[in-house]
Amino acid sequence: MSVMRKVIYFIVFISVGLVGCEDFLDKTDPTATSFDEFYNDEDDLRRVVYSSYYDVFTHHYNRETLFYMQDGKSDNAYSRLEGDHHQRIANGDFNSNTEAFSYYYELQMKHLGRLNTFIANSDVPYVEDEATRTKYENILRGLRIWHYFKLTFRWGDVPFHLEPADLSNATQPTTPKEEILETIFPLAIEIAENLPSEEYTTNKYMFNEYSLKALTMRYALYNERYQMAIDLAREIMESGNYELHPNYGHLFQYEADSDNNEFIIHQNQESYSGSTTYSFRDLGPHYRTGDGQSYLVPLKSLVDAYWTLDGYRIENCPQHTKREHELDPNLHRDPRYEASIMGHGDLFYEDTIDIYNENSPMYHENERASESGYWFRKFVSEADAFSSGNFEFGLLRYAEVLLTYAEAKIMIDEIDASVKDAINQVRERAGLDMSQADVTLPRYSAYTRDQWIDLIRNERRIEFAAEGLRYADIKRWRTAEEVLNEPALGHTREVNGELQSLHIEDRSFEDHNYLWPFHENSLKVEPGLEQNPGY
Amino acid sequence: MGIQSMKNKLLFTFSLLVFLASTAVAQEERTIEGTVTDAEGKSLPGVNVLVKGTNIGTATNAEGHYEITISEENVTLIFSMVGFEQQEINTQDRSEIDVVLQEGTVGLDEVTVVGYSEVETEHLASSVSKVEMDNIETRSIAKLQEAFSGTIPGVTLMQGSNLPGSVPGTISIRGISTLQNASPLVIVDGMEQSLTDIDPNQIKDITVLKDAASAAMYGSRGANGVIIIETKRGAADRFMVDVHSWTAIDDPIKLPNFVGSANYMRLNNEARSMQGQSEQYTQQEVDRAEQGEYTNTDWMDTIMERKAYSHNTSASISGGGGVGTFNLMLGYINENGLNNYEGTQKFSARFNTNINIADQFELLADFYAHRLQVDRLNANRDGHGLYRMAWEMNPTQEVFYDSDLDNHYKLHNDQNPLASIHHGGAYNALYDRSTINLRPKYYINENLHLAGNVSYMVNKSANKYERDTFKFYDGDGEPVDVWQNAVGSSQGVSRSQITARAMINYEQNIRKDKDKIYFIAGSEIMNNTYTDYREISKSSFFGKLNYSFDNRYLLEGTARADGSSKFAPGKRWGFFPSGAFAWNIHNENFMSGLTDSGFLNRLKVRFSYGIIGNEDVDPYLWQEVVNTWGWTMRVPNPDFTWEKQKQQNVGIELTTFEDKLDVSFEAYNKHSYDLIYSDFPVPPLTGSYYLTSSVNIGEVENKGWELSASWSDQAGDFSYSVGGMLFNNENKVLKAGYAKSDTLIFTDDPDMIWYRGIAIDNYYGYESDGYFQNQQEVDEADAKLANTMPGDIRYVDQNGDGVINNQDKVNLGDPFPHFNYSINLDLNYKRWDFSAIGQGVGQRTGRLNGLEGYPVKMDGSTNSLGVPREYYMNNRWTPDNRDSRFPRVWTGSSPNDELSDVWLSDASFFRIKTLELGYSIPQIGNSIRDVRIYLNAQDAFTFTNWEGLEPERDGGNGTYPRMASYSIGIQATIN
Repeated sequence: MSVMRKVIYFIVFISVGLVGCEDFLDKTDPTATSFDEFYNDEDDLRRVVYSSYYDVFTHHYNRETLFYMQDGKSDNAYSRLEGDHHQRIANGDFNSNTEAFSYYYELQMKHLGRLNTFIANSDVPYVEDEATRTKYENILRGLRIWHYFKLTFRWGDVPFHLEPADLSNATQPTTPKEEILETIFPLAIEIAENLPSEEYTTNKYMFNEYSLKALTMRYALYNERYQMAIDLAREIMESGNYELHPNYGHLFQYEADSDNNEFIIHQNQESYSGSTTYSFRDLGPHYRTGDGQSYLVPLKSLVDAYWTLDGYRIENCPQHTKREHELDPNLHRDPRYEASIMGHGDLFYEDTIDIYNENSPMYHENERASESGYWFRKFVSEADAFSSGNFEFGLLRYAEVLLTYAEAKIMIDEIDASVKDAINQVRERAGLDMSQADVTLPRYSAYTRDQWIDLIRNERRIEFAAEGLRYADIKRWRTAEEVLNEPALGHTREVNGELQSLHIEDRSFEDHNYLWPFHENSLKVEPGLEQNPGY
Repeated sequence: MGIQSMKNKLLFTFSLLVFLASTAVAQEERTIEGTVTDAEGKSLPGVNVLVKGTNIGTATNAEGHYEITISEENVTLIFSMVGFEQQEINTQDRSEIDVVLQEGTVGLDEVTVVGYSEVETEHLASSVSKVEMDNIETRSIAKLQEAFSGTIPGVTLMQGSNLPGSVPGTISIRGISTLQNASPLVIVDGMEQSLTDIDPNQIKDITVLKDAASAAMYGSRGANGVIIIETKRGAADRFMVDVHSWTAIDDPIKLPNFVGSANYMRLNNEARSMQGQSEQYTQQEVDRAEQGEYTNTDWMDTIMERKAYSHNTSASISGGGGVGTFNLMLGYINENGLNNYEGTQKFSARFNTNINIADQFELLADFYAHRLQVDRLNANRDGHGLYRMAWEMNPTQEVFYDSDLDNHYKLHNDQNPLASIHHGGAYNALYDRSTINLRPKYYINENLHLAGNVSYMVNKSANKYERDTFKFYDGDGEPVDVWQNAVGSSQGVSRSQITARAMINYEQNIRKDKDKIYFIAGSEIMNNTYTDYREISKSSFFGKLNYSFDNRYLLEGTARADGSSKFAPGKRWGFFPSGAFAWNIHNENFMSGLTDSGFLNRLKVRFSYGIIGNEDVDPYLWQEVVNTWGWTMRVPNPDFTWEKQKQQNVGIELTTFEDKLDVSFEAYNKHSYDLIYSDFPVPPLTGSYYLTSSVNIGEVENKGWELSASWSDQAGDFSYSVGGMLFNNENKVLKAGYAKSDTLIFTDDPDMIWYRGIAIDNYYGYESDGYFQNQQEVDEADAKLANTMPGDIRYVDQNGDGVINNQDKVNLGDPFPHFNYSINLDLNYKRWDFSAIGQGVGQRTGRLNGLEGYPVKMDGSTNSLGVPREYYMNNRWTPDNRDSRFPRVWTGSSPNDELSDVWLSDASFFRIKTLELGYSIPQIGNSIRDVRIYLNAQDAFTFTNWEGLEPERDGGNGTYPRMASYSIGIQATIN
């Protein structure tokens, strides 16, 4: 056998072995689904709506986006974990490199990008009933409005783009905030009018006509479009679909969380696939073997804001001194205090809370204990102390409609009987002593507009404590520069005859902080953005 | 082509090769005789003469004469003897064959393994370095990586950890030129493997391919350099057992010196009062602590329950005859950690065989199994968690309550490291690897052979954890927490790798032996299948030609085409050519005056140029993936393809003064382009989930030089050698995007950026201008971060716009080691030997982050855990110490927690890596020889100005300490 023949055999073998090499290299991700493969039927459409809510608005454990955690950005509360993105915003220790700003911006903007794609392709999936397609499409369009409401409120001018984008057109210049609002307010109402007006029996967390209108009302007030807010509020009031639940405290406990006619936008189990809720972990005390982490705790500023039972500020209380009220927050106070907050000396799970006992897990220097010595009682059920919860939350309640109506009317100086009635409804349900706190009583008749403004703002703060509205409120009232320049304080006691409060941190808020900065990463990736002044 | 059909084809190869081999048919008997002598012509008695592929053999008589009867027409005879190089000679119809055997120690360097073939070292034109195995085999290193520290010019290992069961650090060859994994390719006996699981005792040879011309044969992954390892094989004529055993004790090089209770209280009060917060400790408490009446726990001491020690025993049992050789290598090593539970054990068995199936047909069949068993605490699965936990504690915290209850551990923020050791449960992990490596070779004639290589490797891992119920009680004896019974286990994703390669190899002396040609060509397929869904395939064709013209001019050309399934369709193939030229000046006639006198022994200059590729990236990145919620996960990229690198290398080698002085110098330029960046940030309006895309973007350059020299000589019984090396690499981004003016950000790392001219890894932060001395200075400053207080860092407002933001960040340097050097010394006197290696880095900027730098742990949550180091305390800003090294003490979030030059520090160092003293006994009795006993110290002395703990590592929040290790060992051969 000659050498050449052997070599030829060898070469033949190699050639045989390597034929079809291109096939051999053709490996694709078996888990990959393309957009066309994904978007097939009604259930795909529903899942898109579901995840568009869940990721941003109704997530059950994401503390960055959970509505009750948002008070950690304000003077109401202290959020102990920097990574939850509330702490630095509240104490002012942030700049254009702070992660919170890329987190929120990218989360919302990428959802907008995706909503644009799904809305543009909403005719693709097979749907039995065209009305269902229209409903889902309008809900998606409503979500897009919600994103722009939030984005413009936080950053001012942002890119405004309602078409699908790829790499070639995803970098858009910013559109002035006012221009965006001029477009989306009428659009929001138009979308709402095309939605069913009754709350859905399944997936009731999704927009119906009135819940989208209520949301639009909220942002009309935020953006000082008072007449629009009044009109929308009145429409909702007149619809008769909603009413105040008789017991304030029960709304935030298992007694009435899923059994009331007051919640207009729901975060219910359907909106997070029936998973458990973690409000006890987030807000509850580290108690024995339970999971309370005290991630968000109320501050003295909020505690002292509660009316007395008669509707007075504690400094104006005719019966007790301010000092007495500061030392004992339970003394003759608005019942909403006890329904919302607990602290040193209060009972929890049949134990008296002692935040100064070093041996107690609730000792205020312990990491998992409250640094302020107070805890929220809202959404904190003793039933959840040793297990996880299944709360239903109201992201927008009928009480907000009433107080928005009153506030907007006050702002345009139409303080009539309907305004006082709206306030009284809220106060009476709260359990204030209406023989003293009724705003139609003579002691309120001489109120100036500024006094009414002061009253409605404090009423709103108390009513919605731990419901995530405070940070937006102090920004639109331009009061953040006062209240967020005060230190974050906690429980107050008497030491050697002096009042001494737990001091958590100093805070600062500067003029330019009313708008958030764009993160440096966003500025680099999107050259069309322009940094807000001062950053 | 599926695995099954590939297997079928492999089977086919074997049958074919066996068929080809069996065509040599048996003929009648005849006799061959001859004489065996050494190089000086002295006849050698007792030389084994074997017929390859049979059991037939004889030995030379006292006169060195032999006579052997063979049954075949032509056979190959193997001549072997202890101390001499084995020779194989084909009978080629001759009946008388005289043989000259060369002494074994000579000529070891004559052949170098490069890319699937061997080339005479003198004929090499590319840049190849060998590791001196003498220095590795004979010392107690637990992990092979450690052998690369200070031993090869251009190769750096920053060894940051001595954690049992973990990789000590990353090896880099000639700088970093990729955003992907930058570790070199490791080829063990022709198959791709990792350094981690190789027992140093099993290695015969390590070669490092540094330039494109040498690495191009491994085209697809050669861009980071290639490390080629050959394991030991048996010898044809002798049976022997080699044993090596050592025991070592490890000692932490430097532990963090945290302040005690009294100082902790003072500093905590100082920080809080500066921040307007209520002080935590009263003066009485501070006084009590000062007098030692307050808790003062040394948490590091509490958790380091014992000395760490390690032990290694390995044995090699080898032998052989005419039918082939074998070598069975067994290894066991255990390394114990600092508490009574933790440790690792490694077991390895390697069985290497050479089977001479027929005269012209040889099969190398190697089997290898390796098990790494890691025992850790459940609370310390990564090996460092326990230390991080201990660093978070402070000295005022007690381990136990002062109470009558047993095990009444006190929890601090839910943790107690000692409770984690004793009640947190155990975690055990197993990592198994086995390989089969078959290398048939068929010699068609002396010059031409066909070679195949089929290798299979499977990696598996599994882990389990177990924790018993443990209850914690608070100071009042009430239950506070329960660590519940927990048991679990899981299997890691296992990977099986199959490689098949076929090559044709041609080697011929031509022009009357004046010239020599080497040619190799072949193809390779490789498949990696994971037990999750992933599958990766590669396919390659390659060819290499070396030509030596009159031993003076050397030419080397390589071409390799690689296809990888990781890239987009149509973009899968890359072509990587390279070429090299070298000139053996000492072989020129005009140099004969110098060479004949022995003054000049070697003078060689080399040039090479080539392109190689890099594809070390996850598969499927180019594809569109939409998840069940309708998210497009990443922006797909249909153009995603190879990362490429152009390399140039110039080298000069000089040997002079009668082989006493060796000097070599190399300079290189590596230019990488089309870099793979798998996390390229894209605008959010694209609506993709991760907001990234995989792209080929940017250019990077690594330029450097390497100088090494050694001098060896002997005088009587005393011989010595002194060597040293110095090398440097400078690294620069040439293009940070699609255009030269682009900048590229890294969304997960704000302290790094890319723009033209900056190093590939860099410190991008603020320049500082001292500290704010008082409130007035703070108030007057426009440009400051929020909540700045006296004693905080004053950052320079580079653009003067009154705001401190990214526009004020500057390049503060890079973290790479520059001006690496090492010196080594070997002394031999009679039976004594001594060796020392010192290694250093001339310039490096380290970052003091974590608790090594800051006074508290900046963990992104409370930012208040941990204790300052004494060094920080002594150098902090106070109103009385205004010109301080560090800012004030703080707790909570702080404007000081930004990358600035305050936190950068000189991390150059010089370290005595190895000190070893050995004593050898040539023979004990009849069967024991080459006994050597030694004492060894690794990393015993460190000289550095580094302000952190370990100059080979940046700061951190707590890691397993870097250890110095002291060992005693014994080696012996039994036969």
